[in-house]
Amino acid sequence: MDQARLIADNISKSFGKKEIIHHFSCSLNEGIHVFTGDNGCGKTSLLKMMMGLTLPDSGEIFLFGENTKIFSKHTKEKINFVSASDRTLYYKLTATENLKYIGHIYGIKKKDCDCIIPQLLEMVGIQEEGKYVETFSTGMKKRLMIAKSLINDPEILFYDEVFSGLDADGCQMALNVLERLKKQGKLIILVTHQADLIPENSTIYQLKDGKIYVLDR
Amino acid sequence: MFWIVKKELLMRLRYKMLTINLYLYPFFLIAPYVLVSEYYQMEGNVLINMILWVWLCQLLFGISDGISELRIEGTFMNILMSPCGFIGYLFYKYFFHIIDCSIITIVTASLSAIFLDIRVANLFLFLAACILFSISLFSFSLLFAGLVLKYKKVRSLNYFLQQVFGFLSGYTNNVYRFPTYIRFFSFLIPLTYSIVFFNQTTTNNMIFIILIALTIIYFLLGIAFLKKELHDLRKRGDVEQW
Repeated sequence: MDQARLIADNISKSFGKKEIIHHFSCSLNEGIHVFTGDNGCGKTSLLKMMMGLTLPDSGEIFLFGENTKIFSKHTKEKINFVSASDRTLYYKLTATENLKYIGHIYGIKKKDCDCIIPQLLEMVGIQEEGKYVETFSTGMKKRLMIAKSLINDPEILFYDEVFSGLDADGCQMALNVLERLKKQGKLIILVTHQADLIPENSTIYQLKDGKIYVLDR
Repeated sequence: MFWIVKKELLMRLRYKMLTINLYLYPFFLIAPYVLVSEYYQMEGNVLINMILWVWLCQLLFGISDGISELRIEGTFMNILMSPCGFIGYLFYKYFFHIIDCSIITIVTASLSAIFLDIRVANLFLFLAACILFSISLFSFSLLFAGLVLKYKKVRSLNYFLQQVFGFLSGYTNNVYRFPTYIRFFSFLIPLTYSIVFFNQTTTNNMIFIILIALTIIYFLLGIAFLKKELHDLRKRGDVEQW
């Protein structure tokens, strides 16, 4: 039997005395899974645990059958993310240079990078003008972060507030990207508080007081 | 993977004032010591010793400061999440610092020759030896990098520790003149061995064996400490705090 790409097994997390995730389990393999909730309810903390950046206090998370405590190079090659903050971009590099740098640290060959990068920039609607990212608007930075998340053709994508900062065209672009990824059989974990932008046929989870409820759409 | 080195070099080109400051500052820092040591006919030794000390400072604090810069920038997450990994990233930072320190060495030695009429005999051989000795300095810096991950505020002790390590390693003074209990600490610092070698302060070849052993110990301890601190960092969840 094939193992699910992401398994969370009875995970809990507290910060100080506040328990933000209480005994959560799930088994996710593909499709779009959206986690919503109020500010400070633990959505981003949950996302960070699921993507292996942080560890739960108890329980375990498995990505492609590997415990995130190990978090090997082979697992990292198959995942990518968009963080809520645009500070994961390199401000004194251009859009292309940012993507080249990320591509190379993901082990993508130069020849492949040179081929993929123009396609990604076109897909997210960025025209390379040789300008540094520090001159980009918030929306342009978010578009670049989406492009960055696709550079290694990951199997699992973790998106934290991917729609924030985007205009109507940008939101539509992001929705199109999510739809395309879903059709390709990828697993997308999406954190957002913008309920009107949740893609259709997504599984929606609500975080409240440390507990996670599956909602009907 | 050398895009990490290329990116750092691009940053050097794009922050021109910072780069000029970085490459010129060591000469003006070292020059007064070199000039005073002329009185004792040790100007050549002091010049070499302090260039070696600059290598230690650049490696030790460039790598540990590099961690802090990543966290301040917000790009630490990229490195942690990438297949390259954090420890792999530190190795590529080391290669970058070799280039940086080599430029500093050439600039400092050239300015000494022009303005102080004090020359490093066979500069390129000296540079090759610096690169070789930098392996031990890098292994030492891995331990320090772990400390910076664990205690963010250790970074604030940078300038103080630079002076302490320089003093203990004997950059202006023969380390064999220190009392035994100070000399013990001196020989825990890899820089001391390179200074002893270049100054020919001893003919005892055991120091190279001790240096190799120390390099291996620091390397293994440094990697183990870094892995533990990375694990603890992920457990605490304060990846983006600095």
